[in-house]
This record gives sequence, structure tokens and C-alpha cells, in this order.
Amino acid sequence: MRLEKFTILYVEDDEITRELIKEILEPSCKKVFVASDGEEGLALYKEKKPDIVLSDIAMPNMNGLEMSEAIKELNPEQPIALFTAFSESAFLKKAAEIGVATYILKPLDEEQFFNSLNYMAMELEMNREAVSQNG
Amino acid sequence: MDKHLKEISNLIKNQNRLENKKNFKIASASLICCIIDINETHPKEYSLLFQKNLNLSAEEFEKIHIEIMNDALNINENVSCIKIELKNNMFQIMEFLKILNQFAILNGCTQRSYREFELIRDKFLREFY
Repeated sequence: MRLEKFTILYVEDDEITRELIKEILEPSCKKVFVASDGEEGLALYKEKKPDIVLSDIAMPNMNGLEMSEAIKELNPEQPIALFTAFSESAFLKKAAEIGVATYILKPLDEEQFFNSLNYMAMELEMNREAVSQNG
Repeated sequence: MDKHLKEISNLIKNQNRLENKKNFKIASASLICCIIDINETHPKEYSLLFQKNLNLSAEEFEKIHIEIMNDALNINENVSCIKIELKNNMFQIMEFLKILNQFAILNGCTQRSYREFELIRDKFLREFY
């Protein structure tokens, strides 16, 4: 699995979901960091610089979209995926505008979830290879 | 939409190694039409857009439209065609998928479009995951 080389920040306010996804992710990734809202997620992002960010959208304090926007301002190339049930059309329009192109569909299908993560990992590998070839 | 169709068009123009540009163009248009769901939108408008940006004839577009309406479009065949034309090169496939991804999230994002994109994406990449 490609993910084993990468660190992931997962932001979710629901504790049960957060722990469940963390458990699913941990065996496949280098390291999983978790945060319970956008504010905490942004602080953890600045501290840990994870390779991939996964986030819920609706959260207290700072929602997933506001956090994604702040992260994209720090690093426009940061791969971010948002969990969505596609009921938040205004949020999704905004998400596309700020450069979020990957979504994890709710309810979660584990195989599809890992396919999406592997796709992001492949994009990351390619971007890094391109940078190393050009630099 | 215009912008992303132009990206596909540029991809075709820049591919000197493509053996059959016409096949690549039609297969690309077919996959795009699956994602944007031309059943639900205005086929005439899209026909003109595809003519303008991909140089797809009205007849070629209509054939794709009919296949989609009859649920007869073979996604596997179109994916295989593009993979063959891109010589199964992962970098090129990822470039192509990045553009398809943009079609899925045009004007916001619907569950149907995004699921269709995921289905196509995974047919391209399953062997690389």
C-alpha cells in the first residue's frame, strides 16, 4: 500500500467516528494525527506538516472548509480530501474554488476510501518526483 | 467547462506519440459525458462546446449521447483505449485523471458525478494502487 510512506491529519468533531477512522488508517499509514475541529486541525497542521489532510466539513469553532482555505493559503499544493454526504452544495462549490478536488463519500465505503487515499498518495509521489527532477 | 475541455484538447495536441488521436478524443469525450451526465443537462449546448474545444463532430457527439441514453456506453473500452494511447504511462494517466476530476467538481459537485469519476479513476489505477 502506497500510504505507508505518508502522514495523515484527520479532523472530525464526532469522537466515535474519529476513533474509528483513526483505527482504520493507522495500520496503513506512517503516522495519523487527529484533531476535533478546524482550529485544532490548523494548529496541528502547522506543527506536524502532514502529507495528506482529511476532514469533515461541519464542525464547531472552525469548519472543515475554513480550515482547508487556511491550509491552502499556507500551502496551495497541500492535498486535502473532505468527507461529504453531498448535501452541502454551497460548501462544495466553495471547496472546488479553493482547490479541494477529492471527496470521501458518506457513508464510508472502506475500499473506496482507500482507493481515494491511494490516488492522493500517487499524486503526491508524482508531484515530488517532478519537483526533484526539476530541482 | 471550456477551460477543462481545452486542457484535454491540449493534451491531445501535445501528444506526438498518440497513435490514434481520433480514438483518444472520442474516448475522452465519452468519459467526460459520463461524468457530467449529459442526460440531465442540455446536449445541444454540450455538443457545441465539444465541437469548439475538442473538434468533435455533431455526429460523433450524438453517437456518444445515444450510447449514454441507452446505457450502452462501455466505460471499460474507453478506459482501455486511453490507457493504450497513453502507453499505460502512470504520469500521463494521472495528468488525464486530474482533468477528469475537474469535470466531476464543476459548478460544485454532485454525488452522481463524483461517483462516476471514482469508478473511472479506479478502472485506470487499480493495478497501480
